[in-house]
Amino acid sequence: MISAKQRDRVLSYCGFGRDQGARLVTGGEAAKIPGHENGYFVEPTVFADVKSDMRIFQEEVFGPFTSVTPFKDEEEALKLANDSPFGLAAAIRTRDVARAHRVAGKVKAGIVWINDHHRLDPASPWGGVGDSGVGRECGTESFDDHFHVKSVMVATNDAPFDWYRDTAGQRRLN
Amino acid sequence: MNVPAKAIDVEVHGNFVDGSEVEAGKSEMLDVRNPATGDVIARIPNSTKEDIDRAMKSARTAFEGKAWGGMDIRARARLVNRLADAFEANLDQLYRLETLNNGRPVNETRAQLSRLPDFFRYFAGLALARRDAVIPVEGSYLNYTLRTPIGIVANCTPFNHPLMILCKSLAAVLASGCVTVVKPSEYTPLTTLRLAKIFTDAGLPSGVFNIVLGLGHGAGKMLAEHGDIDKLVLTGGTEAGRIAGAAAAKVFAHQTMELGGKTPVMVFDDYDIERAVNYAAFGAFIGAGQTCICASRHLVQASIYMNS
Repeated sequence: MISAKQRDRVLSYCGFGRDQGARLVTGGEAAKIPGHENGYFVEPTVFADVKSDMRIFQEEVFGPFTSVTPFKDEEEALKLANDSPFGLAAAIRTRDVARAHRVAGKVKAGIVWINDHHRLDPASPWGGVGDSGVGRECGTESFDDHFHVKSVMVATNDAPFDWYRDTAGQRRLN
Repeated sequence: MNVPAKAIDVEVHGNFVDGSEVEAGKSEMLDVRNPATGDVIARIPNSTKEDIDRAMKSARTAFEGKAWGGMDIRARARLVNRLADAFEANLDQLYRLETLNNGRPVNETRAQLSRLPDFFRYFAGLALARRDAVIPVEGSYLNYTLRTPIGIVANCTPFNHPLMILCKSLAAVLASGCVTVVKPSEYTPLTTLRLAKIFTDAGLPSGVFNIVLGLGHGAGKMLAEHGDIDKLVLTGGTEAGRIAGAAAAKVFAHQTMELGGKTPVMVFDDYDIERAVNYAAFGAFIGAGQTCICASRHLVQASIYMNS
């Protein structure tokens, strides 16, 4: 972990997982690395039987920590996936092409990986919805947000403009 | 981890302003540590309002000056491509320094940083390929758009991917003709400082890329609140984003913020289990899970779920 503070934060979530009744599959403790006794290490941690109202399902931990929750069908998978204030990324593992695209369309996220994870490309827009933020980095979406846009309107008809009239040749705009 | 366990020389850094590192002034100093050993490896100032003002002034002067503000678009695209080459030429020292500073294993850091030169090349290409619009409007009128770079981009970057997250923004900033003031995480400022030196040596005009050092709720907040920023870019926690975004809204700055996440991974029973497990380990544990997109919620179809 980047710091003692971050290590302690991750360990506190290991505690929340245990206290709220999730099943610890592996990890859950600070890791001891010979020769690095003063470094900040946490064991890779997996909790199973995690319910959607548990803190470890709802809150960002930011460590080597993941939760596992069963679902019955596609509808329940989406309901669980979208039960979050965040909406940054989502991933789908399936060989069913129709389902892959259907779920990608319905999941609350700014980035979706089908049978992949963590992929980033300078040309592909990157960002989230909800509590995961606003705007996009990468792609033309990002580039275009580095400019002020000025709209220039040029009258190409030099006929005198009668601003009391609204005719086909001289439409009033307000 | 390929990092020395014994104490190494402690470098003292200052903010990077107008093309070089400047004395910290009266700021208190903060320790920068190697998280693998806990050793102090550098010290940085916790910037004051005056320090932020100085960096912002440097940025504004560069934005309006001839060397950058007056640079032809093709010359700028060529320069951004040269910066990509300079990044590549210095890849070894950059990934080693980044690993020393944030503890991420060398093989992960090297892979990530080796892709960053292409971010600069991509945006340099966009700058050249860009077209403005001629818009069909009613009546005898010609309507077209002109685009001008917005100005100063304030960028607060996190500790997990210091250079990658910096470069996502920096590449677009430079290719568009904007300027930037970056506040790197107080934990991981070293590669950002090194890159500013590399880019300056490669010909980036002074004042285009400035760095202010310090704490998020100090220097970062003062930067987001600064009345002269035109765009705020922030990657970090949701609460930090809420505070910085509210401050930037007061001056109507554009905002791009990438904040927290709780990435769901839906594993259906038609998928190969070995592959799913491999992706689960990669998704959840790379970077020690310190990524906003880490696979933090695995949802597994009940028919392949192990109940004990």
